Amino acid sequence: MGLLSNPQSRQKLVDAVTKYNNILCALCYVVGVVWFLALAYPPLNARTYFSENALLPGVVHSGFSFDDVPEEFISEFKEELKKEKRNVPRNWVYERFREIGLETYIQNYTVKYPLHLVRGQIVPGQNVYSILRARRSASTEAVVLSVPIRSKSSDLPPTYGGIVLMLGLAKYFSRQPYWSKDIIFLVTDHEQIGMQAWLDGYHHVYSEYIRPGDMPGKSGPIQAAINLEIPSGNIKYFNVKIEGLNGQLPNLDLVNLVVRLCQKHDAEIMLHNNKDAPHWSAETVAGYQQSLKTMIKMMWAQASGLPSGNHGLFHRYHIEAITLEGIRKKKSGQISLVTTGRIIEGIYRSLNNLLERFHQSFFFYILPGTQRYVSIGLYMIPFAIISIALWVSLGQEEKSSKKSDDVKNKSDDTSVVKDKADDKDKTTDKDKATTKDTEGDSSEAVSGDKLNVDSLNKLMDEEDDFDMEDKPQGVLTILPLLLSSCIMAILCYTGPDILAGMAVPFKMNIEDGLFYGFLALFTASLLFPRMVARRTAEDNRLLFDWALLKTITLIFQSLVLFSLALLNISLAFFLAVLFVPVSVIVHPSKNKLSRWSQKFLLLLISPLSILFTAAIISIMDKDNGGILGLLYNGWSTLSHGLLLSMVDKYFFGSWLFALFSFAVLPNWLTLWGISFCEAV
Amino acid sequence: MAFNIGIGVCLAVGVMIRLSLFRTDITLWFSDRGEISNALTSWRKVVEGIALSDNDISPYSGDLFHETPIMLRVFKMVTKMMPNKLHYFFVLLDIINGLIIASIGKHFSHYLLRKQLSDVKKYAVGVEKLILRKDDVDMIQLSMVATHFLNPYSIAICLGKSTAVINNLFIYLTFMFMLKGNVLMCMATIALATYQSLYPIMLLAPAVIYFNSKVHLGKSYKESEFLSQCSFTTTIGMAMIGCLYGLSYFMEGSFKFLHATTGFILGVPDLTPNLGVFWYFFTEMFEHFRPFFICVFQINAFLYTVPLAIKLRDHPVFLAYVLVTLMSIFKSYPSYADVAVFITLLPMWKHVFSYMRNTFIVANMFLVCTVLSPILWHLWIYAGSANANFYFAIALTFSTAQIFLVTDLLFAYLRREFDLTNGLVHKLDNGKDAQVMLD
Repeated sequence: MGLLSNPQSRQKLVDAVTKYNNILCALCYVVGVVWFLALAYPPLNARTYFSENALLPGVVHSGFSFDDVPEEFISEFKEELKKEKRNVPRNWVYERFREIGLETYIQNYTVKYPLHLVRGQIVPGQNVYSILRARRSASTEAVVLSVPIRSKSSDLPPTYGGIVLMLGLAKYFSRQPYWSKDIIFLVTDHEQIGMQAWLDGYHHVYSEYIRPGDMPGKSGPIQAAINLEIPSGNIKYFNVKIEGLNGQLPNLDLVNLVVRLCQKHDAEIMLHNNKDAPHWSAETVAGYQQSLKTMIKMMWAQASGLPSGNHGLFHRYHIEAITLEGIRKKKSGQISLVTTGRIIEGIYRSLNNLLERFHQSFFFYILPGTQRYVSIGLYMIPFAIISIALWVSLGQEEKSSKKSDDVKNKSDDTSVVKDKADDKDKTTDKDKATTKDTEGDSSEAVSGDKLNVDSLNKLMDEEDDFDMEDKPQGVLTILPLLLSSCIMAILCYTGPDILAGMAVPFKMNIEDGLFYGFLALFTASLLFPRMVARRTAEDNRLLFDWALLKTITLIFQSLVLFSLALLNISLAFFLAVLFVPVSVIVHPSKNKLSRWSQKFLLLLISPLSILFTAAIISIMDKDNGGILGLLYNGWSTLSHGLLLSMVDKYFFGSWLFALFSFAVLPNWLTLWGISFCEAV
Repeated sequence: MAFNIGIGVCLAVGVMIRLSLFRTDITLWFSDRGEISNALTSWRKVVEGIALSDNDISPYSGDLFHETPIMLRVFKMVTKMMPNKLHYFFVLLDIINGLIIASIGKHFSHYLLRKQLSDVKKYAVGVEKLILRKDDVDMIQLSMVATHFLNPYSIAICLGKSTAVINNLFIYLTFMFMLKGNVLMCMATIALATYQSLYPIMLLAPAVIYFNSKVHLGKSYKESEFLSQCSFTTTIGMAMIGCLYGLSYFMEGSFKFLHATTGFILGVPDLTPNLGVFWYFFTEMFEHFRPFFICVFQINAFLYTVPLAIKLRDHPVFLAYVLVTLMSIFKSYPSYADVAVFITLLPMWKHVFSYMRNTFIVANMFLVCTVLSPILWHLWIYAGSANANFYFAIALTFSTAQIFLVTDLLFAYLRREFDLTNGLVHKLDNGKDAQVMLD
């Protein structure tokens, strides 16, 4: 409180902030970004450890082996796949589970595509699941093992291995006496949609677009889930996928468990196909680069807000889940399906030991390797330092707004005259009040004389319009800009429904319709400062209290960034890195060069360019054939990605689209408006 | 005239916002928020209580219903009268509140000028800048009405159908009757507010001081009779509170309701998270310390009345305002309804704003807490990734913001008074500039 209540030290602080404003801002930004990236360096982060003692990873002997020959199963399954090109052999899977002797059910569901994507048609789907009832408890808790089943026409790598492994494990598990949690074996169709339908059905959630059918058999609340994407043998290494919907992460203990068990069986495990930096070279430059690459890749995946596998949908229901993906290399792949089975057996034995839900360890973390982690306490500090730059620059706005007030007063002749008249009035009043006291301001007068009633009455009646004239003007001038950016945000959010409705009668492709609709909206928003200027001023000059607008924008932006940092730190970090410097720099200026460079910078961070860059980065790994090919592919990925994020919004409740339309776009628009303001 | 048009515009805009938002799903979300509807203010509980009493089961026999017997009958009548148009009832209440606030604004500006006139002999020379003008005080009314109709807290509690709106109504009425100088009605509204949520009993202190002060009584004011007059007025207030409880007894036929209403407020058995400080503390505590700490916490809530009443004995209206704010900080089940009261009444002190030093920090703290609290609630309850500490951190920050606001306002008010009596220029004996500090 000393800082707040002591006016002297406080004034010093404020003065320092206003004086070294620009340097402080730049310093905060650079220090923040460097510190954040430096967190990948091993001495600055920590080694993962098991927080939950009950897991007891890897203490039991794994005894899994296939009863049947897995290769036979695989070829049988492949033949089934060939029979139907488009459909998946659910019935075959169903029969196999029945043969093992488990409770097996088929869940039907229907999918209604939003935005008239599939006109009037409702797509059906089926999930197969079977429940191994625990012998030692009354179905009060369950763990899930799931595999997505993919048809021949799917672009994604096949998961034969996963299905065969699941069947083998089901048979093996059903003979073991030690289970105290039900195990649900789940085979889902249509990738994430099927998974969402199953989860919705299990938890009695009904949405408009995915309509799950009734589920005849159920178990207790699900504690954890592992999703398998395993090819048929010859596995070179595993990937552990953690990023869930909206950037939610599973408990770190579950990740640790999977990593530890893979290590126990000498199977290599990676994050996003990136090896951990070996521990002997971790603290060298090469090691740091390796860790940084892993961390950035992990953050990139998290920032997208899309689940990196089917596990991502479990997180919404407070279920910890990961995907274990096997990467097949025909020649060098050494890990067999049996070893994979043993790893999974170990994981389930550990999960079986759990006494409570996962609640220890971390939920907010960044991984620079499978065995190192950066916790929320570590990454929040540099992030806060980046965002503080916004607040520091607020000090400057205060100063400049005062200055601009002064300037306005001077230019406004009439107000000066009025001011003088006012002053005269005041002095005459004072003279009356202090008739006997000629030395008015001297120190003795302070305590001695008191006002009398007459002068008070006069003072009270005195017209004092000078104060009032100035203040509301500030708010009123920026109102058109604020309102129009709000309207743009609402248009952007509600646009897809309207556009899709319009695209149908025009026989347009929905994807194109949406994409060009957004382009049109964006172009309109580019021009909106001009439109506002035409409406408000006679000479088409845009004049408003820009300092106030910038203050509001900066406060709004820091608020958005901080709230986002709690939900999805990666996205918050990337947005902060892009937005903070430009937001701090933007101001009206007389210099043409600085005006245009500001506009150029703003265009660089416009929502469209951000999305386009993101699209290009995401397809960088693939072969695109030169720069032009890359740009073209990026463009089509962007239009496809926009549609997908829309569909995700309807199907899974992803809030990425809402965030962009309600936070990023209006924020950018106000900044764009400021860059158009005439400098006085 | 211009001000009346302004008030009309605010009213129209406020009502339009409320009615149009009532057509969206956001109302459901608001009524589920722990910051808006807690055990005492939730409309859902009222519906349950009405259903119970319709089936001839005493709603107070369980642990569900915490409204007072009189309010139960009022709500019952309202739900019978307009079963499908309940939101009109809440919008209507907000309009009534708005009109009361307009009246408070009008009377308060008269009061300020009257007070200034009576105190003028104490004022130093050279404080013309601080003297209130007619234009300044006219703005008070408009800005209060605008704040009431447009501030997000008032809108949120209206949309969330918080029953605390009625409690707020009585608090506003207390201010209005106090400024109007109507002793009996003022005591009656304090009694009603106390009957509903107990803490407004603190308002007796400023009301009693006001009605026996020089500004109110004018020439018939006698210093010697001050205390006896005060105790007489207090007795009237207490008697009215007693009457209300007696009436409830006859309505219910037993004192069972006491345990579910006043006892519920004092004993804090419901520890559902809210923006107060009670829930976290009492979930952590060993059961056998509970009575002791409940006493400590509740005494803390009431304690500030005494020192503040002594310090601010010449400024009863300001005292009442500070007490309303303190209630919101320290009461056992605070909600945004309490915040709405002191935010709405904040423009009353427009003339001391220039002395406030932490407005920027406090405003940002309010903003951040309001935005972050639903996010952290989501992370804790739905996503399961955060925990109670995250939410409590925000609740604590929110309380801190309120404390900053009230202390800042208090300092600013006293500083202005100091400047009025001692002049704007402060010099030390040796001729140097002195700095006024509050420690």
